[in-house]
Amino acid sequence: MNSNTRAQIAAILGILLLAVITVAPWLAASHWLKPQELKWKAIITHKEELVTQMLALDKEASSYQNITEKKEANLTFRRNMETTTLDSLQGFVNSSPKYQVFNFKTIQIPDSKEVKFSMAASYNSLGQLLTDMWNNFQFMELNSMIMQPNPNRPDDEVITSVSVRLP
Amino acid sequence: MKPFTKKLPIIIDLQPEPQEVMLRLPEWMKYFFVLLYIATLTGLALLLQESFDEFKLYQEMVQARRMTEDTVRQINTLQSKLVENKTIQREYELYKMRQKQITRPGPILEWIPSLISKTQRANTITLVQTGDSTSVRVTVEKPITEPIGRVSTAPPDYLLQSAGEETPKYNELPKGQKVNINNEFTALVIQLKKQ
Repeated sequence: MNSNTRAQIAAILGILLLAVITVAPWLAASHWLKPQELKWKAIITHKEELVTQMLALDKEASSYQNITEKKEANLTFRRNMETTTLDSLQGFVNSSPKYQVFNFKTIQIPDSKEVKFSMAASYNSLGQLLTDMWNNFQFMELNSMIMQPNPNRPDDEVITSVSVRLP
Repeated sequence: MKPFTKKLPIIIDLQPEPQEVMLRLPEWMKYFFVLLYIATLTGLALLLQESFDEFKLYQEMVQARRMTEDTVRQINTLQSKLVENKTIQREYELYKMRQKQITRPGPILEWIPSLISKTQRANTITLVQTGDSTSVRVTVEKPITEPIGRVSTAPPDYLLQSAGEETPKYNELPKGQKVNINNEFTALVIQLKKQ
């Protein structure tokens, strides 16, 4: 092998080396970066899905109107239910001097939420009392009500028996 | 000062310059080199562009990771808010429905006087509530000649199901009260249904 042939081989090898150096980044990109790129794209896609989900949730959460007011109303309702007891009913009728009520009697049916009460009252007082009572105890259910004129004072007073169910 | 007397060594070139050119490449290789050069430059430019895109993608990924953490936190907050809102709304509707279903005697008591004419006198009024149906019974003392009033309207939020006349029961009559000889007792029986 003469020196010229050796030089030619060396030149070709040099060219090949240069070619390998040129191609190396592409190989690295295709073998190492591309899988990474797929992972990164998956992360970005996942983020976009989460953002879409967040926006949908935000829209749904915002679709409920007047939540603060409703929350307060719920508290009021709950308090109203909790305070509707036989004791509070008795206190309501007895403590207010504006209702001229006589012979106010209450009976709680054992093991039930049913309460019966009877009273004698003037017609106007009875109407006022019933109106105020149902406004104060909003979850009290009426089972039955019987009204009859008081035999002793039929023109002025009425005897009432009311059966209610407490909440 | 002592003068410099040492002589420089004589370099003898043992390998003389070759008389003929050592590397003699074929003619076509010149074009090959030029082509390779152009390809390398183009490759470098493409590689730069690729690297730039890759870097941008990397930055987006880093930003996406940070945003993902924030978004997940916000989603959790929104979900708990949504659950709370749903609960509040459901409770509110239940309370309102319950409040609406509870029968108040007010509308019926206001309506009952419209059933009784001026010549009649109501004695016993009985109101019985069973589920969404309500029965009203009014015992009246009325002139014998006067027919019982026709019930044509129902109180607000009620439907009139039936209305009729019955003989009053003994305990519905006034105790110890004598009835006028021109009068009689009768009972008006009405069935209502809550709307």
